[in-house]
Amino acid sequence: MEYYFPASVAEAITLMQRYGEQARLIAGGTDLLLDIERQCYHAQALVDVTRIPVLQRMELDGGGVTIGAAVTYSRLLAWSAFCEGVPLLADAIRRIGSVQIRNVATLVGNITNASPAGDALPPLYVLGAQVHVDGPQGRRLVPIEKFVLGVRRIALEPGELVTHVTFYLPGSGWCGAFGKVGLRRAMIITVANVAVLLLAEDGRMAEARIALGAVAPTVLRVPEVEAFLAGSTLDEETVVQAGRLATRAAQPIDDVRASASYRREVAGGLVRRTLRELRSQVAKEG
Amino acid sequence: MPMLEMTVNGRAVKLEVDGLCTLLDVLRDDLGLKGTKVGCHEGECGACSVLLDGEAVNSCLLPAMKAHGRSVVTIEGLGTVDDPHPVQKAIADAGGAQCGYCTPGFVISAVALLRRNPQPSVEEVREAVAGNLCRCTGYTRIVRGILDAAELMSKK
Repeated sequence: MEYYFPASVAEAITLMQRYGEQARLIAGGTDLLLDIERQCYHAQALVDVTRIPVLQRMELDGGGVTIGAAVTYSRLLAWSAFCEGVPLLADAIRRIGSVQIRNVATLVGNITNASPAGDALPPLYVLGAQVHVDGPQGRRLVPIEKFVLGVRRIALEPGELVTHVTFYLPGSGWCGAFGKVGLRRAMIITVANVAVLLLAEDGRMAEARIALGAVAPTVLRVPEVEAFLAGSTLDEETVVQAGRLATRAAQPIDDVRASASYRREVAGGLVRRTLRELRSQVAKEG
Repeated sequence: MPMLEMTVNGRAVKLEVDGLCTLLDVLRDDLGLKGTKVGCHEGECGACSVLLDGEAVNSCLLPAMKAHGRSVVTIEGLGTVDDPHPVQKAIADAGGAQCGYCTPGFVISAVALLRRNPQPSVEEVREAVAGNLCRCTGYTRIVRGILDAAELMSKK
């Protein structure tokens, strides 16, 4: 099999067009190599995007964050403006894999891999992340919830690649947190996870955004929980009811990591726990 | 097949590899460096850890071509039986090596940590080796060995 390091996005697109289905894009490759190992993957070429300079971009500009497809988790965690600006995403990334994995794996790879258990995905959903795609037909911008179509399915056409992902840092009054349940703390694939982003005003939540992971084929925004929380304080009764609504909204499956009924309970429990964590911040903003 | 040029333990290496071949396979099978171990072969156990430009990576999940133009250090590049690396000596002295299969991976993770953070806390050590599994020691003595090494190395 051939292995290419295209020097530009245009060269990567040309390679992907030339090989068609016989080529695979690779960034960190930590998920791709497992696929190859398990499915005796046959392809003629790997197209490695990590040495395309523009894909190494990691920028904060006027509240807008740009993260290139070649940026590893370790680079993001070493970027203090990122960790302070989006603690919910930084916390999710800290709980992905190990140091060895985070040194090579990328945030954009977590999106394109489209695993239902991807830990960076729920935070990106509540942050309203946009996926930037380039290809033979030109560039386009896809909201993350429209980019991830299903289990391991994404809205990428032949010859296309993701160049970067963008989102805005939450402004003043917003606070967010990430929660995850796995079988141990490190190196574990998620049983269920949640990202919560709240806009606090006068001690109440003016807006709530909640995304649940690993309880449906794709990340689940839960409008019924979000609508219930809007306008309310974070008192214990509200927290418990929000957890009940999240349990009801979850659509999990049984698998080796957990049963569906356990995942449903965990989804509710995570929502309760994460809302309680944010209680003092919401009160302070008031 | 693509041509791979890299530095391994300070020595320039040039060989043809298949694009799918992992760095682990090249190190062990082509270069005969058997100190890097094959464990789970899926990035869970860390026995295959090596340093790539100074950072710990799982060589079993890394296409060898990713090392093209870069520097790889394996356990053989860190120390020998007669002249062990301070981390190797400290882990051995603390009783942190039993069957020894996971030890090269732990040493690699610890060396990467101590380069970046010469005086880590217990929590930081545990975090740094969270991707390395040991089925013998229960970890306590490995962590103690790494902390001892940090102390020894900072005194030098």
